Amino acid sequence: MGVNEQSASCPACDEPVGQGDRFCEACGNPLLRQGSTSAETAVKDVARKCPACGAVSGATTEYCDECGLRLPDPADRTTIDLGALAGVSDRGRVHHRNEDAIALARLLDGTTAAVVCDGVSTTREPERAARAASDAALAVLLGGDAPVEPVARVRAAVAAAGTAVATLDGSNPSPDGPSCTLVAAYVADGEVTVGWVGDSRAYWLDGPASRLLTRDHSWAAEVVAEGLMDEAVAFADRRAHTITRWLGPDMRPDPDVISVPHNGEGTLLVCSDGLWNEVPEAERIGEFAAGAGDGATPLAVANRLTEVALAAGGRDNISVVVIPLGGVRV
Amino acid sequence: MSAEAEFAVTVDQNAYLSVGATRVDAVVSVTATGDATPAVATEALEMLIIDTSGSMQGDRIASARTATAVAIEQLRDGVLFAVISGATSARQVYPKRGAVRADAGTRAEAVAAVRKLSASGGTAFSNWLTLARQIAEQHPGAIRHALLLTDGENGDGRGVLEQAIEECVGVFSCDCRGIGTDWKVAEVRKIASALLGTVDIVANPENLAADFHAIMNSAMGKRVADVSLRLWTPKGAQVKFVKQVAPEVEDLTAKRVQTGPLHGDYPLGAWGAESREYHVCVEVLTQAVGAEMLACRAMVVRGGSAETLAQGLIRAVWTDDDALSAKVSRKVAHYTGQSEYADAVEHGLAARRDGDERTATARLGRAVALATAAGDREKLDMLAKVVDVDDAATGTVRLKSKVSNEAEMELDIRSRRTSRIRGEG
Repeated sequence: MGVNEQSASCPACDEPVGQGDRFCEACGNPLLRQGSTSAETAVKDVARKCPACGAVSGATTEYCDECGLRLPDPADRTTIDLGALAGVSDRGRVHHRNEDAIALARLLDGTTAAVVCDGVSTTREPERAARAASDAALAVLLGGDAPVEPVARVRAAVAAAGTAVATLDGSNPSPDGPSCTLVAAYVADGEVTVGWVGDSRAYWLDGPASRLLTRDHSWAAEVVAEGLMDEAVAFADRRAHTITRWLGPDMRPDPDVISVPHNGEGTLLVCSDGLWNEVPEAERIGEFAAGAGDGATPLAVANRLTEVALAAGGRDNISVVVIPLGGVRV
Repeated sequence: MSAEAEFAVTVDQNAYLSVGATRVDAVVSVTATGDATPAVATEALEMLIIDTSGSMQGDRIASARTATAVAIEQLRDGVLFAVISGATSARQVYPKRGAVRADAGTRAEAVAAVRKLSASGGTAFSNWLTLARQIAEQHPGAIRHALLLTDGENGDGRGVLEQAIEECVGVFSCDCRGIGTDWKVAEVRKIASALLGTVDIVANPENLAADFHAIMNSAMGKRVADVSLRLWTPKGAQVKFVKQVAPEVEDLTAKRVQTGPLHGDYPLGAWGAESREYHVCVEVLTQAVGAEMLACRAMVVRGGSAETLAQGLIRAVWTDDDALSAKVSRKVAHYTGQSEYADAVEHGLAARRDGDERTATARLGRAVALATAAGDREKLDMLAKVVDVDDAATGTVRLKSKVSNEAEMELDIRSRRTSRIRGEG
């Protein structure tokens, strides 16, 4: 049972609100709920206390100024629960820091949007790219000025993310400047629209009908698509995960965008390769998600999938956003 | 870009430690880059100290005059310089007192004065260094460098040279060259080590001018006067050793100056566009599996200031995965072998001089085995002049009965010179 989209009203003053409104025209109450890695990690910019020795360290260090132990980084595990959708981003078990970023939001009328970005680790401070790109894309996806037509809206969001990344270092970007992948999902009016650059993915989870919606911009995916190798051989290759498109200082954003209708069945999952490297098959991901139990909240499903990836090795940062297409009563 | 050098620090290590482990090893590479035109913004002082003791008579003093003239011609306009002659006492050859700025006129006058140098008297390094120090002390803040040329054994009384060297530390740096084979490597190395310089043998006087040319090239390329390696270590940890491992092995551990409760500085001297590498070994408190610690923050700082020019992090991560912790960084392994080689050669040659054939055979044999493992042809060639090799791989050797002074000194001096290796990237 979804949010009643026809007669949405302001939870504060009960006045009717228009579709896509971010604030109540009558009382000014915000009608948008959102969360992101960058908002959750903003606390990093203040002095922090070491849980091991109690010393207070400066804002810029990752390690305690006294005992040297690594200070907990809010980005190690970011959890964003918006009720109708939820996201988790985890450092994993091998990587030194979490270079993924997530950003998600929903409007009172049921419109939801989610973005997952994966920092390219061969570039400098890739987490900056991931955070800037996810924030910029989300702002356009739910922005009042963006095109109404969903595919155009998602394209505009990816373009904004590309600009945000390309201008991170001002007017003199370097070739190894921060770069990232991106997958953005926009769900409104019975339609799922997904745009992506790189190898972050979107899945439709619906029991045996679960399927991958995106096609990676990666070496392996491209040689398979061109019929040069079969999937098993391509993914075993050393070059398999080399991405062929990304957002960076030297790249014009070149997304693929698809739009598919939905009838309220199943769940949309957007994720980084930290999940799908461990569990690539749509149907198996669907089974794990179902393992969270009947009537599980989006947060429970997101946590469940993250734990599955961690248990399988957690060899990369893991980010998942779970959006039940039938909506969730909140 | 400014004329001053820009520094970069990289760290090679395996951060993974096994359960209970406390020792963290890393190679810290410091590279300075700058634009190619020599900086004139920083004042520079160059002192040429020439041995004019009696033993220099003949070819040696003639070569020394020519080489010194070559060095003088290389002085950039505006660089302060002085020429000192050393025997039992030291005196200024040019200018009469203190230092003078190089230009066409002063360079010509200095060369003319050097041409008149003759050799007589004994050798007292302490007096030479003290005169150089007195000149250098009048120019604080300048990049102050000396080139010392000698051919003989020091005649100072016990402890006198050590005292004089101690007073020069931090005032100027000094590269030393020995001509012929009558000088003592250990004695001259003492000066060069303390004063952050190099030591080498110029067996053939004819080669002296070329060598001086190279030294002056390097000296004129220095841009930053006074750089230190600052090592921060967490509470409860301590630096076990710090060794420069490239271009030469030089133990810096004892040079530490405590500059804060958790950090100490190791002076590195003046820098041009160059790269040096340091093996840092830190003992830390062991932590639980999964814990990650900053074992050492390695910073390049401007001497006498808190300004950090570049930094690198040495980490420790405790793991129960033996496959991860058993790996040794290629660079750490390489330089550990090179340091051991230098020790083996120095101890082996010292034992040989003392008549302890057993130790000499064992240590020089070890040096042969290490050089063989490293595939270092140049080192093996030098060793082959001192020992007969029966089995290179195991280091089975016999001492040669006849060894030229030159071969022995060359082996000794160059034992600390290391070959480089690329990191894992």
